Amino acid sequence: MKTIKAVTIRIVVGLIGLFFTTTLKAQTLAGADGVFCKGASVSITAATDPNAVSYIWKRYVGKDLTDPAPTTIAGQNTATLSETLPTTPGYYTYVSIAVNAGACESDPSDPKTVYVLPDIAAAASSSYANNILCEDKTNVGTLTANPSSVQSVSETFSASDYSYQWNKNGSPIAGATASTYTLTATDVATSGSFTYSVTINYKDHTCTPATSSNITLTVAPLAGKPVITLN
Amino acid sequence: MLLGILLLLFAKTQVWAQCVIPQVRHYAATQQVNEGLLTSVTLQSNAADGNPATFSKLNRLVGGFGLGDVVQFLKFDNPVTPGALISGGTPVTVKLTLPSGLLSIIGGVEIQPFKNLHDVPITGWQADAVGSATGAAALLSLLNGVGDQEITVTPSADFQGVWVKLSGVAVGQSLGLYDAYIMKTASASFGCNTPVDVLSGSKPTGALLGIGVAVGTVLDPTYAIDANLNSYAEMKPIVSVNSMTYHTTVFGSPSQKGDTIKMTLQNSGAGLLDLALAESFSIQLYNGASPVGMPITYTQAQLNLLLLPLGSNRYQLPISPSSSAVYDRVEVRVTALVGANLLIDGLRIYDVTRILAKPVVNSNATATTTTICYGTATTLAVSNTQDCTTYKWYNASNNNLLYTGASYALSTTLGVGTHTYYVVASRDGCTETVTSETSTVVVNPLPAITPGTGSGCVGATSATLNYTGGTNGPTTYSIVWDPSATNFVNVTDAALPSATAGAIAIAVPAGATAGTYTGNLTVKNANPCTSNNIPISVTVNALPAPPVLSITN
Repeated sequence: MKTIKAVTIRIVVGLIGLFFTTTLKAQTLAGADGVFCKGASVSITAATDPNAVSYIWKRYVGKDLTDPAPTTIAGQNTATLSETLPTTPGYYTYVSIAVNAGACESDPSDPKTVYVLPDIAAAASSSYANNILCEDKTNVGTLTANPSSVQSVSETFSASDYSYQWNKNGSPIAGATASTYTLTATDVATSGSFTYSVTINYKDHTCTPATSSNITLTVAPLAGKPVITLN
Repeated sequence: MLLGILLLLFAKTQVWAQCVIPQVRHYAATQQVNEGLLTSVTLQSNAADGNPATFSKLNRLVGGFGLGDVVQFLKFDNPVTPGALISGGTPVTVKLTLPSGLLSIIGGVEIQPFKNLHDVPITGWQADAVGSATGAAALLSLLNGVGDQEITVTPSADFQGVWVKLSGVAVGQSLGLYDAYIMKTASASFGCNTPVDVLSGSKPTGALLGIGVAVGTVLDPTYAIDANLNSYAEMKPIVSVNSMTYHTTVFGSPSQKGDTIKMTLQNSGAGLLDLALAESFSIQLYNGASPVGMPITYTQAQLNLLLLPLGSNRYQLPISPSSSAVYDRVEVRVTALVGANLLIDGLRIYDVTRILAKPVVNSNATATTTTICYGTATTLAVSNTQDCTTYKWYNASNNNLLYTGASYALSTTLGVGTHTYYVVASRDGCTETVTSETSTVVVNPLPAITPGTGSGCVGATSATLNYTGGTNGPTTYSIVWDPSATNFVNVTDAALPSATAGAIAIAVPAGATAGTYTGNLTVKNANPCTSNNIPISVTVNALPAPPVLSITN
């Protein structure tokens, strides 16, 4: 089960101006029996019933059966449904109806709800001053990944729901998998301009990753020890 | 009386029970005469020529002392045993014609059965009387007019023939002797409705002897029954309150109930014939000597006299006597009354025929077409059946005889298509037939469908019964459920989705449990014809369990 560690709900109570934030930890993606990447296929199996000769599969938009016009999935009449999920992120709820030799249809099965993950938008920001660092110095600053997802429903994702891979000059930086990256001594050991980006994916699902645009950091060589002359 | 002769006027003593083989006349074929010095018999052979239209004439101009007697003997050949005498009790009818003046001296006429006819030298032909003579007062009581008369006597002993003698007070008169005949069983079918004779003359309107000397006459009476439709008998009445002119057509045998008569008439004068105005015109039917019913006058509308105009101012007068009337002769009576009377110039009778009732099938007098569905029991029945009449049904397409009887029940397997029939009525023992109008029966095919097994589900309100093979255009269906199909509601003439193939929605009652329910289905087309019962079964299936799902991530 996919969990989302932090769902922040902000409740503004205008009359008293009270403001606070509540974070729900490790909450199950509400009502979802399965979480899938966009474009993935889902496979749902009905337990074997000797009286059933065929099955009808229906897909409702949403995480319940309130969709007034569910889709009867064409070409799927066996005990196992296998279909490519819709590309629109969000909840989808499946039910199956068994059909026996007399063409009688069972009541619908208990539903199974899946969630199709939205695309990820990746961005990165730098807190290094002017994006110029000093060679061989300890520089103050960090690079921060800013993931976001194209939301279709009210589900929200926290930074911890993603996985990160920082890249330098287009190549992954070993071990740089946190949401932030602080240039190491090695990084500043050599002067020059370097591009950094971050590639973001869902932490528990290997969907199509998103890579931020590059941030160019310049490691400036130190000037030589001044030779001072007393004039 | 010793010989116990029973005398009947116009009576053939055979009381013809219904459907007894009709009898025909057997005329005396041999004649002899015994004339006196002052008497004669002219045209002697006419009395034994078998032709009732010709007669010999016994003339007695002067009488007295027995010298003026004149006798004509008419001798029969025994039709059964040649040479033997005719059995006593066999009625003999003598047809003669009396002039009006003879009535007053009728006592001079004698009719006597005889045997042993032989020729005696000098005295001439003699015979031995059998039984009593009929003469004098007896004859007077039998006669009903002047002109043609039939007098029937029944000898009580075996006899050879009958003589007619003119003697006594019959002076200065002549008597016509047409023929004498007995009746014998017909050896073959003959024309029972064919007129065999005509009697004509005048009848008194009151007492016989008050008829007077001047009476009306009928010219060429037999022309009304010859085969020539353009020849006619002409009744010439005179203006008299004492007499009326009659023309009586005698048929070969009594009618059966329902027979009708047709006459072709014409006013001898220049005017049109309007019997409605001719109050002196009437029709009287007889069976033998006995009148049948009252005289029929034209103004009695209920008697179905209706003049139908033909060409040349001729009219056809169909006469439909009451259904119970049985008669063997029909008499036209005309009285020429003083004043406006359209028949003052006479009435011409071109033709008199009697015909069997044309069979009316299923009460339709005209050609009819009946449409039925295959397998339907249908009967063609003669609505106006007559006694002693045989009905034979024929296939009109090939004239094959199909059935004999008044009511023809068509086979329930009569093939689809058009079948046309007619029925021919024939009088038993007679040659006459009459053919009905045609009756066409169109047999339409039955519609049909071939249903599959109906199938539905527990809890559903309807099940589906697919069908194929629709033929002959079914448009509706009906279902009658077997008693075991509890709560299933019968269907009547519900619309069928398709005439060829489709699906019938079977209403499944609430609470119907899983199982098979049976009944019978019929389909109907626009004709409308309904198919035979087609057994159907509808299975209400139990529902499968809802699936239990699992997702493979």
